[in-house]
Amino acid sequence: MSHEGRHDHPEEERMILAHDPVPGYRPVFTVIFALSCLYLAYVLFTTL
Amino acid sequence: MINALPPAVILIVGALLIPLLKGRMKQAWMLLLPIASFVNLLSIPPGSHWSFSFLGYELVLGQLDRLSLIFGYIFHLIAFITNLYALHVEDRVQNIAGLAYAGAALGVIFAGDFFTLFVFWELLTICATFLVLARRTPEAFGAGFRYFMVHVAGGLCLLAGILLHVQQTGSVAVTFLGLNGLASYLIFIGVGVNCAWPLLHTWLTDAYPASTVTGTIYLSAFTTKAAVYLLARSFAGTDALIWIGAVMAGFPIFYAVIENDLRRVLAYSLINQVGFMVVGIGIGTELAVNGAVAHAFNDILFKGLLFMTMGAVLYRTGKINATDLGGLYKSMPWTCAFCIVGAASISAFPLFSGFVSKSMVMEAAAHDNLRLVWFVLLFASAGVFHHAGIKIPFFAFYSHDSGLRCKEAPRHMLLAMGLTAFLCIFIGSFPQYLYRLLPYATDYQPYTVSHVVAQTQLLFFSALAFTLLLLSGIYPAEIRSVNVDADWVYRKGGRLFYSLSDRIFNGLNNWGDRIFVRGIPGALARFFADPGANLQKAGARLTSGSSRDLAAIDAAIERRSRLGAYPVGIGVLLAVLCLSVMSFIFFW
Amino acid sequence: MKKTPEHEPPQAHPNAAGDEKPGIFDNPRNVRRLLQGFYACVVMLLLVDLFYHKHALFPWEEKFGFYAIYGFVACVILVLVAKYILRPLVMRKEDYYD
Repeated sequence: MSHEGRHDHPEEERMILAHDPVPGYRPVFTVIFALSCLYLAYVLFTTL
Repeated sequence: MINALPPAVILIVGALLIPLLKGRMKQAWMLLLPIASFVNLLSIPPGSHWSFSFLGYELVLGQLDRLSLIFGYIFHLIAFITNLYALHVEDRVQNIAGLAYAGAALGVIFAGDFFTLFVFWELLTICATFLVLARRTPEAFGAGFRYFMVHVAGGLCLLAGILLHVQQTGSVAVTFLGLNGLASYLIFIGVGVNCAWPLLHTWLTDAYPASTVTGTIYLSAFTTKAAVYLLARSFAGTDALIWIGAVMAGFPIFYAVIENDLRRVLAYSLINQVGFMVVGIGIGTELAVNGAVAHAFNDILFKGLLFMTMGAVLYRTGKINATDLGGLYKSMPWTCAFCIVGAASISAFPLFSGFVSKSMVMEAAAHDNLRLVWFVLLFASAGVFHHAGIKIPFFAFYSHDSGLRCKEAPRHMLLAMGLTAFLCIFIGSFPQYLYRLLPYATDYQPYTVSHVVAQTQLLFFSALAFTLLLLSGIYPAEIRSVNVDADWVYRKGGRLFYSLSDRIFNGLNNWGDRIFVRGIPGALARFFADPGANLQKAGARLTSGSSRDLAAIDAAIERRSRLGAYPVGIGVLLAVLCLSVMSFIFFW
Repeated sequence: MKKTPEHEPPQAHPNAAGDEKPGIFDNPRNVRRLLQGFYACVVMLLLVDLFYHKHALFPWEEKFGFYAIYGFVACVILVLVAKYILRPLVMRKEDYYD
């Protein structure tokens, strides 16, 4: 925040630090997440 | 009588002597005081000591049993560690406030009656406020002021509860209360403010990140844990605590994911960890209370360690936002390693301290068949690894290279962090030493194959989620921003109240001014400037049906009034003439 | 009251000019190795589940990979909710309270 009174270049501070996607990861993630959700739903449905 | 001092005395009196010392003498004094106080504590046998009568009530300065002693040990330990970490601090305000704060916490823990407890409770607030103000930035002044106001309100609530309780029962002893009646509810809520319950928690996430590099370490240890102690003492087994604790464990992790200030991330995870303790106390079985107390013990160490590593980063770089940091593992390898130990401990990796205490609370919840609570706690366990375990070290020390290059943390900070990291691993690896100190005897076994594998799976797959989210670009960007929390109510709502009051009361004032100061006297003045004409005009308006010749009548009235040519005037003239004539005739 | 500097300004590292020793993660190959090792661990951990007897208090704990899948799904949901629900609701400019 503004505790950098002692520093001379406040304008150098970035406002946002985004995370760039690495190509190919998103479909893998989507598939794993979908399968995990289904499996978890099945487990909870059969035991709860 | 015994030859020892009440537990809180050495630290508080010692703190007051600090202004007389400087340089190496003061540093030695800061390090020796917690040790001397600890030796003093060890020399006191369990039981009630230093009781005296005050206004017909029995006050007790030292009530030592297994529950208060374990908190006493850890408070001494963290006071020593924090003083070591803060050895470079020349600011006497911080030196005194820090030590007196630790002393006040001891006073609360060992108080045998509610009056003594309340005095030390308020001393906690005062010392903590100074630790926040010591940063001396506008943000810190604002946060310190808000901290003070919230805690004074909570303290008043507690005091009201204590007075009612004393009046109803005639006893001031700090014992089990349970929730029954107004007095206990007031005490319950007063403690809840210090315990950072949901909606009452915002002082914590507001003030802790605003404090100084070293002040935050003191703050993270005492206030919430003293409240946890009092809950364990007076409200163990209260069902409401189970749900309060579950919410505390759950909601802060969502905020922590999108928070940019890394010390505020830790503040949110502090609430999350206290949530586990509160659930344990709410369950109230021996295993659960043991788990809560053991987790408080461990949390003071690993949360202190994490705050220390982030403090070291702030100290060396002047920055604490995730957007500004990254790549520091090259400049601060030791701090980075200690941070990872703290992260592993808070995440409850096997062989690290969180593992041996968090599991007790989880198992106690399972034994009581609290399914929903168990799921929330498991969710929170995965979540805490996600935000405190990965986010903190990753964004500070790895992630993208911020280009910051700095020196490693100073030696005394590294020593303090190293000692704490060692304790985290030691307790995690040899939990029996901690278990021996717990309030109830236990033969709990954390290291079963099932438990170790399950916890490792949970954490590795949480890490997998983080990795995949980050690499597929879904992980939320770090953004410099304010995230509105319940403190909106008094930060913006206060302003709303102010403007509303402004409208109502200043409106009333203006209205009064218009009517009574300018309106009525003005009207009266206008009327009495020419009462005869004004009365006639009013009469003409009342009697004449149409407004056709009102203007003419008004003009006639005014002409007559100006010339004094009223019917009355003519009458008077005639009377005077008549009198003159009569006098003339009579006297002549 | 004596004002002491709260923190030091960041100093230029002796090697900041450009001849600094590259960190271990500056080499993309090391990052790739770390990730591959991590994925291997994850898969092995899931397979370990088949080979030991579980002491469970709840029935769902005995199912294959319950903790692993729950941890994964919980974290993804945590991040998605924080990003797409909480952040739009609560995020304001830095000077919101000023």
